[in-house]
Amino acid sequence: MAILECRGLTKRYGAQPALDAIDLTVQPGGIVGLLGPNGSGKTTLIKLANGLLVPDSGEILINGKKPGYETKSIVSYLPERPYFSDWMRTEQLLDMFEDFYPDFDRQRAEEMLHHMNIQPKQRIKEMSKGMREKVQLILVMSRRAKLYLLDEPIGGVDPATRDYILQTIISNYDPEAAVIISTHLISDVENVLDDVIFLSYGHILMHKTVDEIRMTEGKSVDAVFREVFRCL
Amino acid sequence: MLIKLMKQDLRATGRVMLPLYLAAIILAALTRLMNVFQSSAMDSRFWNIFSGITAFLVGVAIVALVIMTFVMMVWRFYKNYMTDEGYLMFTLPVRTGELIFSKLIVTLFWYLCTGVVVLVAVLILGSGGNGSIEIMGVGDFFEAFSQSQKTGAALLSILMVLITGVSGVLELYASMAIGQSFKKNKVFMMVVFFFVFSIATSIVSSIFSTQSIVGASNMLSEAYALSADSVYKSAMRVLWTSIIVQGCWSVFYYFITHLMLSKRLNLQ
Amino acid sequence: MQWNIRDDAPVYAQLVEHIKLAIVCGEFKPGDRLPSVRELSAAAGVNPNTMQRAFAELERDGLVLTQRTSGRSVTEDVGRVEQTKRQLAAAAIQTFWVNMRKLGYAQREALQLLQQSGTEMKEET
Repeated sequence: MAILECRGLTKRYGAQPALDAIDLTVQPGGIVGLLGPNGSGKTTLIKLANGLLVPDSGEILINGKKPGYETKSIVSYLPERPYFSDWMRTEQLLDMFEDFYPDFDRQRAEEMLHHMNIQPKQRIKEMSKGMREKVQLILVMSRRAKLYLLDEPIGGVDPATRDYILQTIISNYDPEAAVIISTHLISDVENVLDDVIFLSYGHILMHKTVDEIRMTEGKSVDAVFREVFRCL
Repeated sequence: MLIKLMKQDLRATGRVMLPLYLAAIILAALTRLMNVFQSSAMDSRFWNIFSGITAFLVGVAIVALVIMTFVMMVWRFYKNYMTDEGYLMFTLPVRTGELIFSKLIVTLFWYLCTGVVVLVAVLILGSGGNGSIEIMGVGDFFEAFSQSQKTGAALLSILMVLITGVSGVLELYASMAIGQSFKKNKVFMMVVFFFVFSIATSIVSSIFSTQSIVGASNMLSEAYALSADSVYKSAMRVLWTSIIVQGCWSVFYYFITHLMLSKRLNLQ
Repeated sequence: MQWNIRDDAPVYAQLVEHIKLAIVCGEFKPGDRLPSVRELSAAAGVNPNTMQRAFAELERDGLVLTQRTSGRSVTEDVGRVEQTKRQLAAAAIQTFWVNMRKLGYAQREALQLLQQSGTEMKEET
């Protein structure tokens, strides 16, 4: 069964639809890039999958179910902005994730935090923006979820951290889980991806595998992306 | 999961509430100490003014504490569910009902604690000396009742206060839950709905309470003598009516909050 | 091993080329156990499914064997490795001829140049 399925999915904020009748299927075992310029509907799609927004029409299904109590325990979500209360300490966040998510691997999270030089007693408000993003990503990737929804995971981090994040995603690979990464930094992620989805103004322009694009176009996905979006 | 949510809420609110309580108690104790000094020292004008000021400050602090409790609990619901923190809270594998009840129970808990702290502060102020304050004046009202009637009335009064508190808190939650579902002007819509609900609640409540009071006074006039028994019966009738009315409001507001947070969540 | 993934060709084809080269150069010796797909894809920074696909192709070519118990290893068939080496050499030569033709050299001229460059290299070393 598809881990994520959208049928005629539509969401409007004003008159302009953020997503316009999207049809989409993502199977387990893939790492999928959700690519598009700002305002193309990437975040909206991810929020709909998390149930943080409700569709205006059409439907979105996670493992065959509408977003809700059952789907939340199998989805691991990295939001575009860090969402922690800033008075909390790293270890309190670990406690919290351990409390609420049975699939949370605390040991793995602690190893990664150690690797990133983040102290367990450190408070969120004492951290730089990049550091908060790392903490959040580590927590999200330390779950053994069926669907990872990562909204701009490499947006604001330095190149070394970016490589570490991508390595983490690769070494975390699970043939029964799917990873969806939204980003506009395509050249950095394209070798990590199976499929790419090009989003523009709430429409899907293209949904292909990376090698398919390279084979038919003889160019990188990044180059194709630049061409496609220059014409618009 | 409810317990785990409440643990988080207690941790988040406790770090504000506990220092406030401590400050209030210390302030009350200091004032009491002042009074002791004053009575032992000669009756200088300076001491009078000084103790007047401190007593006033304690009064302000107590009022501030009650207001702060209220504000903190509204703020907690808003910050934790309606802002970026909501991204975490609404993606936890918990049920919407648990999210609402966690906040509600923790809020009632802090209301209770604030009540106790205020009582303790007042007792400290009035303890010993000649200036003891009669706070149990309400006891006179129950004087005429029999023992079982007293217990019944007391329990029912507590229940009424509790359920009025619950419906008040849920009314706030429902306003916020409706406000967030709008695409624009979310906070403004929260305030608008709070006023709409407040007016509706007070209109309906006043209709019922006038009826029950009228009913009660009819009962009293029908009784030939103003016996303790008939006073008791009419008092119970007034209490029951408001408990039922407030209970209905609570259920109504709970379902609105639940519906909006589970089917109309709109965290843009 | 340096994994430089170019932009112009499918990633899996480049991975196949890389691993073949590593085997031919003796970085992975005949009979050696190979790192897991997960390890290799993390090192190369590529998608594990793509690495898997590259291995499938190498298995079809008979360069890599899959054992049920001990994962993947390089074939012990030295002849097979030698044959791959030839294929890679043939491809390099093919590229040479294509480029020379583009530059407008006739076969004889090109051979002369090649010979000349060969003797220069010998003198240097």
